[in-house]
Amino acid sequence: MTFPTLNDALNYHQQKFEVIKRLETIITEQGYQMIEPAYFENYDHFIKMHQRIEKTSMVKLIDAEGNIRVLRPDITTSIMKDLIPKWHNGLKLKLFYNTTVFVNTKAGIKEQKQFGVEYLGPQTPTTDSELIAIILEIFNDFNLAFILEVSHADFLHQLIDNLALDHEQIDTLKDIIYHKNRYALNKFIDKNLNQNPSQQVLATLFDLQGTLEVIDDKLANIDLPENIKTTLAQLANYQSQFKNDAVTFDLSMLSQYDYYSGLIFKGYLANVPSAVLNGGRYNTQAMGYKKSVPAIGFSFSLAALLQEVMKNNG
Amino acid sequence: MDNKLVMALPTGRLGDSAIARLHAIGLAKKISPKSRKLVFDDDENIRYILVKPIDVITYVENGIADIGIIGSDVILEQEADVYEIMDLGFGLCKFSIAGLKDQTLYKPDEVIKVATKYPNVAKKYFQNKQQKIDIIKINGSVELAPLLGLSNVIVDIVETGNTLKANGLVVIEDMFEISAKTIVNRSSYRFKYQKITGLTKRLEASMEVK
Repeated sequence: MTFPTLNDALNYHQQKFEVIKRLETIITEQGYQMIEPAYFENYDHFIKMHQRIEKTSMVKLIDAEGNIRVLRPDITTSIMKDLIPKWHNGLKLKLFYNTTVFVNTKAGIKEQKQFGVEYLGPQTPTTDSELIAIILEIFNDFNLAFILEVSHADFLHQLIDNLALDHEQIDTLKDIIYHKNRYALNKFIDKNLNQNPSQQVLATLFDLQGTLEVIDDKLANIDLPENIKTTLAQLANYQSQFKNDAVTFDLSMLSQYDYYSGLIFKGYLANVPSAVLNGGRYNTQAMGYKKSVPAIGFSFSLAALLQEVMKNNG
Repeated sequence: MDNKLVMALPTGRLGDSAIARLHAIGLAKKISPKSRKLVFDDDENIRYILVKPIDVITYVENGIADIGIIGSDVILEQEADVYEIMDLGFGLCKFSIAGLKDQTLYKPDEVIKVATKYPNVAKKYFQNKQQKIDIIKINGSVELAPLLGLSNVIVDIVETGNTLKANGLVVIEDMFEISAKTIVNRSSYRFKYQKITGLTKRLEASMEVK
């Protein structure tokens, strides 16, 4: 083993610069504008906007007056806070950022480099497709083995609503779904649920993966509840655009945040052990500011992308 | 992309049962736990790595292994961020709270001392029951703790209860059932979906025969 030389270090920075330049070119060519979000969030406000967030993972600071602040754990919140109060109908904003978020982990405070894109304003299937196309273009452009997992956030929301469970049961069920624990799911169904269409859908949940044809096939013999039918029909709208080997549907995907409402997605790179990309439609988040602003966005780990690009370059 | 499936197996008794189960479906034939080798390749393009039980999760979570076989006791304690796609039906035992006979477990306004090798499991369980506890982490012969007054109770794995009995302890409350599970790395699950689901289907089929 040899230690990196000065040349290696310079080479690394040069490659990183090239990757970022390439990303920014792809994104600005599509008409997106760069923004620089604020570093700090107000703790109480942040908690109010993200009720299910892991509080221990936030990096907290106390200012001179004793107020608790948070070193930004995500970028979307900061964008919403700055822009939504000034929002008026008919606006269309296409934004991107390349910046750092902060997370408290068992191994200390981590800085995570994130590259993200947000599309605020119009909501049509074309906005959603535009974002999906950008994601695929980015990972294609760098020639990386990439899979985008897609679902509709309403599907699980509706399914769980239909089952009329209490809070404790919902938490248990979400935990089971998050771990794709088939055994625990069957036990949960036996213990808590009666035979009805939503229960039948739940029983097949972990098989609802792959193409929409495969999913339709699995659900063919179930008399689907109306709300779930509507959601699946919405998803079918995207079918033609998602005819791509890099896209796979997974209706058991549990979104990171409860505020997602339409399309949700997660991206995986081969040889990177966890998801590198997260995103989805989050129309309801602006409600916290008493506005109605449809929005969709995604962010990915720039560090993971860089690492894989450099591996390819040798 | 590398198409080989890497499976982490625990050394020891649980691993022996896992290997027997794999043998039953015609896999892992070249593994010999007696040898000092730790990596074995299979005709079906599967690589097996033998590691300490608590390390199985680490290898899978970090994507070095795509899939692993491990007891749910280790999963519960380590709170691993992996998929837990299958129950294998062996390695059955329980997490239990044990102590001296005739004592009340839950004492509001009092802090009870709990000795255990599994601090996370104990902490979470008592938090849910809203009982304040002090955790005393020890690494072996947990049964001694209540006898010598180190703790009020212990949280431990109970299989037959013989060890407890021999030391004059009784199970006060059963917490969770434990069994062997198949765990999968989140990224591998996507990239090797067909291969992994194919393998679990074979394992499931072999269980139904029994």
